Amino acid sequence: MNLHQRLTYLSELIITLTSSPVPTQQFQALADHLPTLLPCDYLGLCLLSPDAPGYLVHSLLGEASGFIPYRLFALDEGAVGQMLGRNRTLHVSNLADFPQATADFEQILLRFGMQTAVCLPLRQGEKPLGALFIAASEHGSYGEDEIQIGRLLGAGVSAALENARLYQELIDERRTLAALLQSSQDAVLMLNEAGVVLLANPAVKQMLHLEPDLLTGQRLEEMVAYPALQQLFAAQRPDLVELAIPNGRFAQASLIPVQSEYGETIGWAALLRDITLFKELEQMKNDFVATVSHDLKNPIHAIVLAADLLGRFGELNEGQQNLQQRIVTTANYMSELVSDLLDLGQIEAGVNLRRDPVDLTLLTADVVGELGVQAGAKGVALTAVLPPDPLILIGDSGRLKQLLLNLIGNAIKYTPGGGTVTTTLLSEPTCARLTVRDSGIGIPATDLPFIFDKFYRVHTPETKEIKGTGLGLAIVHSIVEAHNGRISVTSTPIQGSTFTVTLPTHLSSNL
Amino acid sequence: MTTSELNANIQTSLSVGQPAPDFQLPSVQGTAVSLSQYRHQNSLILWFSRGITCNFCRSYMQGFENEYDNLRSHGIEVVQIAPNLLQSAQRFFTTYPPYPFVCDPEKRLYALYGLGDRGVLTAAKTAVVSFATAAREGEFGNNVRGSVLDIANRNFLRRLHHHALTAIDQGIFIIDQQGIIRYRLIIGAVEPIPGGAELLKICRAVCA
Repeated sequence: MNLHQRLTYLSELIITLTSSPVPTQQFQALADHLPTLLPCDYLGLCLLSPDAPGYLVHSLLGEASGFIPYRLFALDEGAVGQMLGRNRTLHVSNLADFPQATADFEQILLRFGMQTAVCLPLRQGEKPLGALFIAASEHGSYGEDEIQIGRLLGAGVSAALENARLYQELIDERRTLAALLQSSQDAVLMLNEAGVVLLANPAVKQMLHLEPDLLTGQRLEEMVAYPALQQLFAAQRPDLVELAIPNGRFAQASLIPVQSEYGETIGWAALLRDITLFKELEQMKNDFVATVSHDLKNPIHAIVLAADLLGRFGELNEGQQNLQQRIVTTANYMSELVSDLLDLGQIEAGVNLRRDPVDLTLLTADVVGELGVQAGAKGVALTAVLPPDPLILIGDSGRLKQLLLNLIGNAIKYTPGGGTVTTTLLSEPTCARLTVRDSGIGIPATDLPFIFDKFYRVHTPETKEIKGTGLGLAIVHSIVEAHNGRISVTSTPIQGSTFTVTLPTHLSSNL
Repeated sequence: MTTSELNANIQTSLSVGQPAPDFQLPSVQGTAVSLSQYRHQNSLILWFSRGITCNFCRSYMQGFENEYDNLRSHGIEVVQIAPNLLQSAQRFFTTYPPYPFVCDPEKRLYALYGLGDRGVLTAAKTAVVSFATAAREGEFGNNVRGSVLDIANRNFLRRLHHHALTAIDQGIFIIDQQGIIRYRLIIGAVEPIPGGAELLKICRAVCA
């Protein structure tokens, strides 16, 4: 072959090398084609060890192949060692005279008749990977042209290996993420902006009884009959919904936007978690509260009744009357506590909640009227600012009245004589806003986060004399939640507190 | 199979009498091929080839195609494994071979079956067999640990060694109905692999 033909052959070989990211194929192509390109009676692929300083020789071609041992060659051993030290192509014109020749590599090649060799560096960027060791049995096989072709080839192999590395990295990355998604118990669904499913993991099959492979590439709305899930995706804003899934189970689905690093939303992902167990536990808890409360109420009534009847069996002296009074007071307090617990249990479990149109304006006026006596007796000015028209929402009038009684009653309770309690009701486009403002003792900031917790009571010298079960605000909170409303509180000690409740007035109130 | 069992298998390369590791890999024909689906065959010949770019392999493939019907009539199935990318193998064939042609460009299966085992560089083999296999075997508990191992083993140089070690080798494994390896032959590139008629004879002898 003349130089032109060899360059053509070289370029074709390099094209072959770079056409596949599988290193095996690159090594095979080298073994198959190198002897046509350059004098080559032995080809060794010398690669640095990943574990120890040194290199190993993989023989790809030549009779000597089976005789070169697999051992770690030191970094300064042999021609490869010298080449690695200088980091450039090395031509060994006479193997027999090569001073650093090793007994079990260069010497073996000599025994198989190799006379001359060329050592080409393989690099990953600037980092050395190893060398191609090409040997020939004829002296003077490697002239200037051959060495130049060899250098080009070495660069070509390095480039092909770099392709292989990048490809491998990509595959590894993808596989790790895929494995995570594959093994997740939570179902993951990802949609693009057009509503086409980009990704569905195997848990989707388990949870929704949908085949992930059939889902991908399809529009979700055409494939899925879960209105809650469709609405979740359709709304296109981060949200959390609960949906009934097959086999009487429940899942909580949360929607999260998938964003590129430039902040653009490129799709939406829903994560579905089976919450059946949590729901069952919650139900058990509510059942427990209801049952226990009911069973406690009966014996308390018996105690109160028995205490009342004591007087019928003869005159009680002052000490006895005193004790009888304490029994009745304590038993009534216990009864109140149990009633509150029972209420809370029922509201939280959604038991016996009605869905009727309720006029909140009228209801507020009634409650303020009822509590007027109590406020008057304490010297607290109770005022109400109400809208001129009825404010209708769908809900349970009994529970809403309880909410108002508790909130306004509390305000009166914690406001000393001479103070004011103002109840304001406002009609807003989609909700009713109820504000109860008092000039009472206020709530310390450290207690604010906990005041809606069950049995939580603020302990300050001012509250010492005020009785309560610690359940009033918890009941208020659950009534608000049962009506899909929100409650918030602001307070300044000594100056007073403001409770704000918003209740949706549109018809979707989900009771 | 657990990851530790897997690693134990890697360190002592597979030999006759041991159970053949199961796998599930895509074939050019479009279906996934797993070892367990051939349990009803008298014998399964697993041919670890050098791939479609190898001239020798192409002539051996022709031999298998010619003998395939005869082998099938004796309850023998052939599966060829090649280190090619699935897409390039699919482009290469004008007509697919009659037997499943399975692609394993990462050579994980080669490593699992002990090809390229010269008694050195066990680390090179653990580099390619890792958590993907564990996950496939349904070993959920160790997934996270497995993925950490996998990332730790993602050393390109290690993988290059494995590719270099298996670039030349070819392997023939014969597996019986119980999934036990009954015959194992690992040879270099220029040595011819046994032809169809010879393999039939071996199958009948070892899978009695």
